[in-house]
Amino acid sequence: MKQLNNKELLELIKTNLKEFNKYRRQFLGQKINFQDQHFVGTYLRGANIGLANLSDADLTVANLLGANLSYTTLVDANLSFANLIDANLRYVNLEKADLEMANLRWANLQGANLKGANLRGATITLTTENVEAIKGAIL
Amino acid sequence: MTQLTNIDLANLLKNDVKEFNKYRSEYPTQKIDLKNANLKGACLEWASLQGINLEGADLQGANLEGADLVGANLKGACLEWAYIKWASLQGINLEGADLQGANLLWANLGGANLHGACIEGVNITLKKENIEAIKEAIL
Repeated sequence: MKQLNNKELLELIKTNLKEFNKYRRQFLGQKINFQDQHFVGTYLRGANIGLANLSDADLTVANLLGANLSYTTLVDANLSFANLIDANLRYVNLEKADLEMANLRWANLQGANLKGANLRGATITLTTENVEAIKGAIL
Repeated sequence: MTQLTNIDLANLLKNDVKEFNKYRSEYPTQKIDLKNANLKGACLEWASLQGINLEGADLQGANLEGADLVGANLKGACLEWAYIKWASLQGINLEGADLQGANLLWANLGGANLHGACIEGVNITLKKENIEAIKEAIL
């Protein structure tokens, strides 16, 4: 598989998630930039978006069940009503992100930055790491 | 219906929640003491348990969906893996209670006392009053 640019990767993630994850395994070090992109209601179950830049992205109602978002930048992103059950959100940057009514059950927020994020009505599993992470959020 | 003793009421609650609720509406002022009652795995959906003393009770794995526990005393009770979704828990005393892995989604914990309670792995909806309540719990 040849190396793809951000535009091609955006197309791939939306049309063939399995191939996208395969690609990521092959090009581990590639920095992906999906800033400002639209993923409204997109099926991203189990997607490997770790380390990517998704600042200002619209992920409203997106299905991110079990997705890997560790070390991802989601500053100002809209994740309202998103399904983030069992997602890996370790060290994610969710500063000022909108997580209203998002489902974060069994998600791991260890070391996540939620400063100024909106968590109104979101559901979460209370673990020591998660409680520590949500301290800076708006409720 | 004749007035029942605490032992009779414990049995009624375990076997027929509908009848128990009917009894409570007939005798709304009766003080019910179910201290240390064994209600492990009991089906107590929509039970009228407001103001009841359930101190030290074993409610492990019990189904308390939609139950009214307003002002109830559950000090030191075991609610491990209990299903408490949509329950009214305003002003409840859960001091030192074990809520490990309990499902409290959409439950209202406004004014609840969770001092010293174990809430590790609890699923909760993030509302101001719930966060206020869990602040005192030990993680």
